[in-house]
Amino acid sequence: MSKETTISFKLNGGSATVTAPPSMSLLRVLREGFQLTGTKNGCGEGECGACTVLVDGESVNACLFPVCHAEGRQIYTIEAFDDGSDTVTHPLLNEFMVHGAVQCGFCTPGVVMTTAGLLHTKPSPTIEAIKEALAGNLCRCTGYGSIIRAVQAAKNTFFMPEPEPREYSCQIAETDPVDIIPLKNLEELANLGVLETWDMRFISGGTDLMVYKNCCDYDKTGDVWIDLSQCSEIHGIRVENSKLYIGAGTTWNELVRDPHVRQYAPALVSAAKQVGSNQIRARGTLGGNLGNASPAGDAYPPLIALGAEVKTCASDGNHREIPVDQLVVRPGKTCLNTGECITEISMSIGSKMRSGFFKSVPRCAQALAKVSVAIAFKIDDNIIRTPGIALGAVGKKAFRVINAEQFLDGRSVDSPGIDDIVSACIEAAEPAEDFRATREYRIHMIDVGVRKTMNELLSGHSE
Amino acid sequence: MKESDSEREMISIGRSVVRPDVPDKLLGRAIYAADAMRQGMLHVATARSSVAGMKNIQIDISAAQNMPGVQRVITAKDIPGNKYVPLIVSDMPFLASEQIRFYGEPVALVVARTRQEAKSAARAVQVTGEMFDPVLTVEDSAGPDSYVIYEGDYEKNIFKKYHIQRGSPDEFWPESHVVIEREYRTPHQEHAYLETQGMIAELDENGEVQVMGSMQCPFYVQDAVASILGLAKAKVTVIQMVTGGGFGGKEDVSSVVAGHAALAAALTDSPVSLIYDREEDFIAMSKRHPSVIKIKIGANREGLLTAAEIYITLDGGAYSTLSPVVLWRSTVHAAGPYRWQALRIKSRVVATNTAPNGAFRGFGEPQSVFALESAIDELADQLNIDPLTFREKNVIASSSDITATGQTTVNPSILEALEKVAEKIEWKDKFTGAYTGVVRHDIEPIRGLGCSVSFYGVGLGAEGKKLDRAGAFVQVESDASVRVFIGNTEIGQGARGVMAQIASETLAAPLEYIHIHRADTSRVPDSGPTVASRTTIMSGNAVMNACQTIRQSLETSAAMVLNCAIDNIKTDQRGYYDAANPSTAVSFHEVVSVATAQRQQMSSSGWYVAPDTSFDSAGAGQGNAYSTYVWSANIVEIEIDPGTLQVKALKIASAHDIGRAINPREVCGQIEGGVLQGLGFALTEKVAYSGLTPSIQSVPDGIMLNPGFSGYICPTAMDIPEIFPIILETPYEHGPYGARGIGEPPLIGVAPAVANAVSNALGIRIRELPLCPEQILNELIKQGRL
Ligand SMILES: Cc1cc2nc3c(=O)[nH]c(=O)nc-3n(C[C@H](O)[C@H](O)[C@H](O)COP(=O)(O)OP(=O)(O)OC[C@H]3O[C@@H](n4cnc5c(N)ncnc54)[C@H](O)[C@@H]3O)c2cc1C
Ligand code: FES
Repeated sequence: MSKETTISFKLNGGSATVTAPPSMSLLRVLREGFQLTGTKNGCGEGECGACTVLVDGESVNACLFPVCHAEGRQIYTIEAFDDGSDTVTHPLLNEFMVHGAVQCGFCTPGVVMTTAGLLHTKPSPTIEAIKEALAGNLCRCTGYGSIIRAVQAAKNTFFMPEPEPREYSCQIAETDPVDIIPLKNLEELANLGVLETWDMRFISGGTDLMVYKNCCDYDKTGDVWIDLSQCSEIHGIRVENSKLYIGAGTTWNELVRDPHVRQYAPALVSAAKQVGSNQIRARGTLGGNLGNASPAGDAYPPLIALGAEVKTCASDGNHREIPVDQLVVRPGKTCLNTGECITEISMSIGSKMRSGFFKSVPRCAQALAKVSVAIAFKIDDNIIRTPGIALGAVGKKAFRVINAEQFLDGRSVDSPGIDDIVSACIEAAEPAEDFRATREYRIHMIDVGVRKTMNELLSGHSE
Repeated sequence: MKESDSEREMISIGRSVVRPDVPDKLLGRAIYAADAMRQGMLHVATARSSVAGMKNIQIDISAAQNMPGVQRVITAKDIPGNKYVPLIVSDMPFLASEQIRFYGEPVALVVARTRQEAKSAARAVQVTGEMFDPVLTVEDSAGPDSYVIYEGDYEKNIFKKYHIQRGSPDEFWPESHVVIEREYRTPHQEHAYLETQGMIAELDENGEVQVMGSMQCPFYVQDAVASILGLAKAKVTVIQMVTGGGFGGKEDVSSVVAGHAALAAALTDSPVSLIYDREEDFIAMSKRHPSVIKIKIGANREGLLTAAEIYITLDGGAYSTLSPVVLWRSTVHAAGPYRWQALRIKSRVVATNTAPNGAFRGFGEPQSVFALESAIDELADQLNIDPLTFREKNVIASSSDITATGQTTVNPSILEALEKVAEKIEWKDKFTGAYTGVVRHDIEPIRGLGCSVSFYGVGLGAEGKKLDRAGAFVQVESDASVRVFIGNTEIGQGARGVMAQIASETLAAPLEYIHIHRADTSRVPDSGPTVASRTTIMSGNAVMNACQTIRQSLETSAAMVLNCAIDNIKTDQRGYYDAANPSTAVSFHEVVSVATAQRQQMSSSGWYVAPDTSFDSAGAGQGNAYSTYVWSANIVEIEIDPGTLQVKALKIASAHDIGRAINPREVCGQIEGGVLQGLGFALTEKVAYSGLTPSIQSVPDGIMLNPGFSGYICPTAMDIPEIFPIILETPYEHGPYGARGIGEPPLIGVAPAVANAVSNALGIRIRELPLCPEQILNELIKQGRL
């Protein structure tokens, strides 16, 4: 059961203090604690974006944001745009108004906040960038056209509103099923005592855990969350001794932006770019994705193909190294012991390493993979070396296709034998038939995914 | 009004003004049901069945009653009034007490201090009984051994049947040059309005009940609340709050939510809030009816249509709700806007153990139009005629052509609509034959074009005519501000804005003077539902009617001020003036001051009854089914990814004759939004049930497998095509300023146009929605083209 915690942060330019269970969503605190009801609850799963707010300038889903993560941060909600006049005064909102970008209005506050987050960092985005930013905000009324036109019209005129600072304070007394224990560093893990008595989980970004909690899936939620987000040991990306090290707390957006990752692990960048929506990529982490152990988790295939391993830290302070393809034991379950967390992901790098990723999805954004394929290898004198081939979403976990790798190893780029690689991959897969895709389609996607990725990796080769 | 609209410069009509509801929505000030707070408010959660079929049920509430914060647990036996939701046939219990007929059916209500406590306790309500094999398909529904879900006027498990017969199709088959027979299927579609269902209910000291919330039809809700509480309707006031989308999904089922909230408020004597979470909204609320439609159509050597035989079966779900009228619209429009020499249409809606299906934008028509417009293309293909030309030759094009029900129409404009969309997408230049080769991932994406036409009867038509009237009340205050009450609702479509424009125009008042109140059953008499694209015509005419009475007062006063004859008074942007001396005008504000001082009548109620319609349901199904039709045409350009086999719509031109666009920009907004919802129906949207769709979890049959936005795939901003809305304006003589309606038509023709484009791209005909890559793969495998 939760102990209430007091959390302080900046809210719409003023200061906010809340005493509440630490795992309560920021959405509930805003709406129920501060009566800031402009931020809407449309799903509780981070899918619809109606609860989008800005945290340190980035758009996030308030429904998946545990309020304890707000400590010391700068948060803006739609109310920041309300200066008390009878009508809208901010130029961005005015463009929404004159372009007919508001119908039922339920998605509108979230859409405006996403747009504000975009224009704040990119004052003059392309249409593609606008669509990408909005992909995490469902609107069922407008067909998005008018919203996109409004954002285009607001290019180069955006400024963050500066509302009259207000003091917000509230107390929410509620028994919450989940308690959160914050860690300042990993050494504190040892001081936590007998972890076995709890049904404990680590929390990083919370984009999986908060969904389970909001949907009352308590088996998956557990009752104590040990918060790693403040531990410096799990942050940061570096290259050392021909190895790339990525902190487990690295978010998808950080991966996409990082020059080392872009250079050495394009497959991972490609996967990161396609995860969920901008709101999810701002919060979800590599460590969380691995910890969640979903067969469709997008970090697995690229990391397996790249031969990555995770470094863990147990509550007794001991470390181990586990290859990523050996991390999962069954869907939703890793081989980590209670109290053992992932701190870092590492992989060998080389300038000749190429890697690519393919994800089959039912729509252009916000979609779980029907099939994912990652391939990595290096080319030495026209010969393919150290290949890694991994598949996701077509078995109980993402896995390496050893037969295909063996086959590819040492072949010339002119006759890589793609047909045989495809066959080996299909042979190794156990694609399910469910509402997301048929078995046949998944098989076909393995075929297409392997071919496309191979072609892509080999076509760049002559440069 | 003496001058005709076309001679006069309009004050507000036809202008793309900003809607009055928009600023509050943008600023987060608009209060939706979940945002409302009341002193001492309790929270209600619904306990639901976790299986789809169970007899002789026992409901154990003891555990729930002892959970923290719980004030009361309510089951059917606590209902003081009627236990069934009042609809066309009242077969749906507010709370199940004998049988469970669908997964998620409500069995009890838990009232607690907080929403979390109510939700937790609701999960503790236990239902036991004898499980039976749920009926999940229309085929099973009729089977000899199937469970009896419904017994009424027809055979087992049939809610309603219709029949239309004109001439004898059988005589035409032998002489037709080509005849095809095909079967088409469509799945459940979820409304996916962004705001889930929600209601606030409270009682006052006089025992009167007030229910406020998210809804399309306050008068249905009023019926339901009065009924469940056994109260006189005069003691029940229903007020619509700002509503976050409806699309039909807040037409009938909001009555259940409101009934539950009112019951909880009455039994606890406290204000209560009942807000659905997304999962239960998916599981238990209505959907678009799945359909199976068999079509036989023929054409002669000249490429003229001969006869049609159409058999429609809709899946109504567990209770009849609005199924009879959905079926009727589907039936009446099933033969499309074509000239047939003979036709027979037979239709039925059957019961299954799935969530009751109901109203959804298009109301049964998207299903029958998907089937027919696909079949028309298939026939054109067999005749080797360009599908656009084939339609041009055969559509209803003159006032003497008749519809399936034998009705003639005024100025049908499909040809014009077709011409406009063809021009926009450059059909003549771009339309070529299908690619019939092998589909490898590394070939160029494959393009295709597809078209469709449709017509849409606006309003409730002959089978709903008892409800087809609307009221309004308009009052001009002494400061010249104007308050307007209407009986239809703003659900995002822009009704408040359109009503303000109509009132402004009719009174010659500046638009900013007009204030449209939220719908309130105590202020306006029953105006029927906000559905069937009827609000502009019905409430618009009622507002006009009220404003015209007041305008007479204003003209009288203006004539005095201007010292001219009343007949000489005209109006424009400036206000009122003398036609003989147009240079001086008196402002609306001034005329109101004078008229008020002269004790003129400055308020009036308005009333409008739809023109008469007819349908001979006991006979051959002939008659003037609807008083007017919107005529529509669509052309879609698609691209198919040769690797993933996904269909991507690139461009959609969508033309509709809506009589008059009161606010053109908002009409375009309806078209764009409707087209995208139609595209979701075409490509990705489908509700999956265990027993029909394989599932890795082991669950009993009839469980919804994708009750949320991660499994139910709606289009995002990255999935949109370029949409070209095209508005045609052939005035409708009974419409306010010539207007018809636009809410539904844009969705209707999209799916068949996409299916036709897929066929044009790849030479593959897919007869079942959604047109997902899995189906395209199957066809390519069958044809050996991979
Ligand atoms: C709308 C939406 C869309 C999504 N789209 C995608 C997608 O496209 N592809 C995809 O792969 N995923 C997707 N996800 C899932 C999720 O966002 C990712 O898995 C994300 O990377 C999880 O990271 P997190 O930090 O938020 O995890 P958390 O929720 O914080 O944790 C997830 C799990 O990992 C464990 N964990 C966290 N950190 C560690 C650690 N350092 N060591 C050991 N265990 C740890 C937790 O105990 C928990 O079991 C989506 C989620 C949502 C809500
Ligand atoms: S305006 Fe209704 S969901 Fe966007």
